[in-house]
Amino acid sequence: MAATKPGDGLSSLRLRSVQLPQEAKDARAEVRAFLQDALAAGVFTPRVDAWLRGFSPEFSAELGRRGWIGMTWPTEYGGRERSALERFVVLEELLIAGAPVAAHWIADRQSGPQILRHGTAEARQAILPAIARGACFVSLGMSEPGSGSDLASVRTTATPVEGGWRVDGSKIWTSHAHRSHYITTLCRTGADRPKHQGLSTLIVDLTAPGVDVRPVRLIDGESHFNEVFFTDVFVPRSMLLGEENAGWALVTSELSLERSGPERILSTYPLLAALVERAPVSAAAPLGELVAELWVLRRLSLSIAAAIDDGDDPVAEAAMVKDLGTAFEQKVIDVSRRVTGDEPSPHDSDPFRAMLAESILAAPGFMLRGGTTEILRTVVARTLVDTR
Amino acid sequence: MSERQLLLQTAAEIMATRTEDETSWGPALWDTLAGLGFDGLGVAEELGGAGGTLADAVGVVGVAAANGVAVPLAESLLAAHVLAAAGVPMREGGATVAVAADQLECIVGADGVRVRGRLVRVPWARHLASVVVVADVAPGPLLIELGSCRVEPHENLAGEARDDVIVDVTAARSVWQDPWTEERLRRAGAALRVAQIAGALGRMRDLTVEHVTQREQFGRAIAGFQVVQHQLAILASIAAAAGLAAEYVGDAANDDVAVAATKAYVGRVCGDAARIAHELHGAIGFTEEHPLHLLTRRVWAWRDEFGGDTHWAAQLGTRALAMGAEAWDMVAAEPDDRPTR
Repeated sequence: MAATKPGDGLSSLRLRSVQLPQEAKDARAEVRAFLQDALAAGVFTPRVDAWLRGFSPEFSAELGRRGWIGMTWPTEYGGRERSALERFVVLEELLIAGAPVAAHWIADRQSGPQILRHGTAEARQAILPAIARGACFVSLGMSEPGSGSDLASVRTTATPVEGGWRVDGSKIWTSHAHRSHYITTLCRTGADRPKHQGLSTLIVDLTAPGVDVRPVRLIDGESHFNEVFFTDVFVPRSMLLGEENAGWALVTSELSLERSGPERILSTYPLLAALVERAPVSAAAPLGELVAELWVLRRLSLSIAAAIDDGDDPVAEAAMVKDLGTAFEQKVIDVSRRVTGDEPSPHDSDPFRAMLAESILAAPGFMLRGGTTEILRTVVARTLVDTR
Repeated sequence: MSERQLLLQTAAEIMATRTEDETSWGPALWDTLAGLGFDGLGVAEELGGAGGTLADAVGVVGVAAANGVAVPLAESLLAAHVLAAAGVPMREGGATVAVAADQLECIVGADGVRVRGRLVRVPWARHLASVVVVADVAPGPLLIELGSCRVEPHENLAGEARDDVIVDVTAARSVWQDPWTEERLRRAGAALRVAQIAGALGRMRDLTVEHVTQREQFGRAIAGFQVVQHQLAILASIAAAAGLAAEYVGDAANDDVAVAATKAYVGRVCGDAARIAHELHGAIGFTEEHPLHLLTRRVWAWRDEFGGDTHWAAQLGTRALAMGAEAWDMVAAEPDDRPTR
């Protein structure tokens, strides 16, 4: 390689190692003590994929009381102005415990920060303090029956009317829309504009007249998914996020947050925790492989949280976390089967066999939600080569 | 630019502008690097070192790997650090390291340590003047002159010397202030191999990007094909994860969990990256004239040196089983939260 230019082999990597500050360690101790008490009191039963499946308004309200929702936001909106690293630690402790955090998860991770940055003063006042209290839940209105990976092809329309818009169309795969308060809805506001330039995101009140929510049952019998229909739904002007017709930039700007969090790695951690308690000594190596992979991927996620907090937007690295992380979540299932030989048994009183069953039936969603693995790889490749 | 970045860039420039074509041993480059003190990074100047930190040393080792150079940098640095811990200055002519294992007999006497037996797969032994042996049966590191031993040549997949050394000498007692254990040497060696593999993977990604951008088939650059893009994305993801792992071991080369986790993970996935790099390069990348093998052959060798991925995974797994419900602590705790064993 004498003739090539000097390389350090790390040129495209913007991520750095992160040392957790003392406040984050204190936050860990605090949330751990709370979770131990809650478990002992039977407040919840640990389950896998609980950030999507464990819906408990009571538990969310309790977390809100303790300042663990919207914890990085300004105090004037109910936040606690704590650091992104403290938040990361709180999230991971909740996730590994399999605690029911689904009710507020999307609002805390995505909708809240979006409203904080791009919402009107009215929307911020009306919604953010309620989210931080654990009393307001938000669904994501992105996909439609005809628009999945090709999200910019959405056809739900928002037509300007006096004081706002009238929304018509439908959204699908909207988790928990039947028990949430709002749905952030990607709509076509500029019908005559090019595909990516005529979109806007509106915050739609799920109790407004003309909104109809119908459940979609999944292969495990759960129905957190819904299809949401909008017929002549009025949305006031104050519920616009960002600029009109600039919705695409808004959607893509939140992808790093959406894809890089610890929930993309830890969905099956409760199963791994149960596996550690029952795996035979002969399984040390495959078990250790999982521990090793988790050690590295967790730090990848942590480094991205730190980078986002510094104002970077590591879109490709976030896509990598989700790709690697969801493959890891799947691997936990595979190793659990292999080293125990246990039969998965839905609703079994044995938590390992029950979680194994639940994990297998939930797993198809891991690599779909938040951008399919194929889309993620295209996103990564685009930063490296001309993909046209 | 930070001092570290300046150092790494200087090292990269020296390595990239080398003129020798030797792929398995580069004596002229090694003389240059050693002459500039790169083999003594992180070692105090009064012991013949170049100052700086251990993280600097780990960084430079990664740069060397990215440039596919054939020099005993990692091993010399290790030897210098083991000696420095015992208060012994760096050696003329360079030193390598060996973990004694059970094929070595050490008898501690009044005038020194009688050492007899075989040291297995000692890196670069034939090219260096001495070997620092860490044996748990000895009260400190043993400094053995290789000129007084028989060196039996072997090599790794990259053609780098991994010689057996047949020893029958009396080694001088060193000061033995802070003796390293076999486990500590294996761990430090594994940390350096993680940094090396990460460096090589980063360059593998860069070479592959270059190739798929330039290579045309069916009338277009093959980078335009989605199957190629997706393979490239997997390679880049592995390289990124390994790069970050190397950042962590640079700061925590003596942390047992950090090193075990990174060596187990990086050692396991680097083969996937090498496979993809070769696949995307096509037949040209499989030839001796193309530089890709300077990276891939080393990665295939390094993943099994200083403990393969299964060795380290089993160590982590055994510990996880013992910790039970507390196993998460192993994943999340910071190196300084835990006493090092």
